[in-house]
Amino acid sequence: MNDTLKYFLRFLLFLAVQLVFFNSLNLGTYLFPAPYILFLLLFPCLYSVAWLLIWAFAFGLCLDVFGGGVLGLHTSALLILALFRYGLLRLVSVKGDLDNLSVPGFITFGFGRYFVFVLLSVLVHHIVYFSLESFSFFHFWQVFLRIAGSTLLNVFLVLLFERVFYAGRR
Amino acid sequence: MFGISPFLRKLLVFLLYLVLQASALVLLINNSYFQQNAMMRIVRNSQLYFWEKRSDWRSFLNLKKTNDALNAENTRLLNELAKFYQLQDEWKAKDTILPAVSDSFSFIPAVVLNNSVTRQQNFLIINKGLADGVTPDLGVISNTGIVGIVSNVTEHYAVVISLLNTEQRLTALLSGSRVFGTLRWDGSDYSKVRLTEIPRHIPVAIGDTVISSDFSVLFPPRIPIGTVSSFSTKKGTFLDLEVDLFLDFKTLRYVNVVTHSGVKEIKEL
Repeated sequence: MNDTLKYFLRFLLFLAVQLVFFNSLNLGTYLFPAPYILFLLLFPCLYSVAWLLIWAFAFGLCLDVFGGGVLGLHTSALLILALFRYGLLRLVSVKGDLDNLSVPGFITFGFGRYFVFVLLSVLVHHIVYFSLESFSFFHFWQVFLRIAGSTLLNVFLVLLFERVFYAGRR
Repeated sequence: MFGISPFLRKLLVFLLYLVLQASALVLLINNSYFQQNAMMRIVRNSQLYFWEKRSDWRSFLNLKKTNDALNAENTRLLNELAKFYQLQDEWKAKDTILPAVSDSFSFIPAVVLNNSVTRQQNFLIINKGLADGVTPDLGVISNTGIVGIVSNVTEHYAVVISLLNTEQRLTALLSGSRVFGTLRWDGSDYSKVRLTEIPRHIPVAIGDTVISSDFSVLFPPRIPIGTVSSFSTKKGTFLDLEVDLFLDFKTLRYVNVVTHSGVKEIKEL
């Protein structure tokens, strides 16, 4: 299948699942389920950052508009994640290894390194998302707990989805 | 990208990032405060289609709960009606004229199309708008408490700033002492709000009821809002009360928009 078409279908799938299911799932203030982060993590290691930014922008905007929150919130968080993704990949991979690995995942990276990669990515996204949402340091501990709780939940969800739906296929 | 140096390429990518991030932030800043610009209207129209479909679908799941609530409400209304007829008969027996209702509140029923409880600034969308008589700055209530205040209205829909919005401030009374304070949400728990600025000498007990103010044209007086679950002294002079809401914002679907015949006159005073 054409790669761009594949990414586009994946885009629609992740968007639909997030909007219809996970946005309606109320797990309380401290747990915000956002496994859609996996959408950005699934692109090939050497995928152009410019295109990644455009995918992130489009995905975030759709999520903001149809999710009904404050516009630009998911978009900002996803853009920063897209910008840092290559750096994070470099951080967790052995030097020169990135050229040989096609797509970041359990099997290509091994559990340990992939776990660190997902953890850092989710953390970057959540720090931006929750800080922008509260827009002040007045509720510092509350924001901190929301970041911590949601990070735990989403790292688990992302790893689970990667394992179940993508790792087996390669 | 086409034979240019890696440095320049990185710079271009970063510039692209800056442009996209700037547009995201512009959207964020323009919309974080009460969503009152024209662009929002265009966006809303596309949102509404989606939400209306999703709301219809979701209401299936809550049908039993909703029916039970409606039944209870019907019973309550029938009881009130019975009481009213009884009173009317008594008045007639006394051969006097019914007193004119001084403040006439009336209600417009509406259905919640979209709602959230986990954000810091929560909004609701309801399916009544200008065409039905809903205008900005009207109060919205449900069977079990205060829901919020209308902010933005289109022809058939309205945006309501939820009580669960950290920027929302409302006046409420302690039912026993009839002292009023400011009702606000601290952004953490959707079933709790805080009643602040109650003077310290006022006796407060856990379990006291908090009701809507007598002086408001936004809400009918004495709607029960919640009960006091704990309290503490803030800054030495005022009491800070934690209030458990009667209203469950999570399953909220049927609301009433409150209109008051005298709003315009009172505001012009």
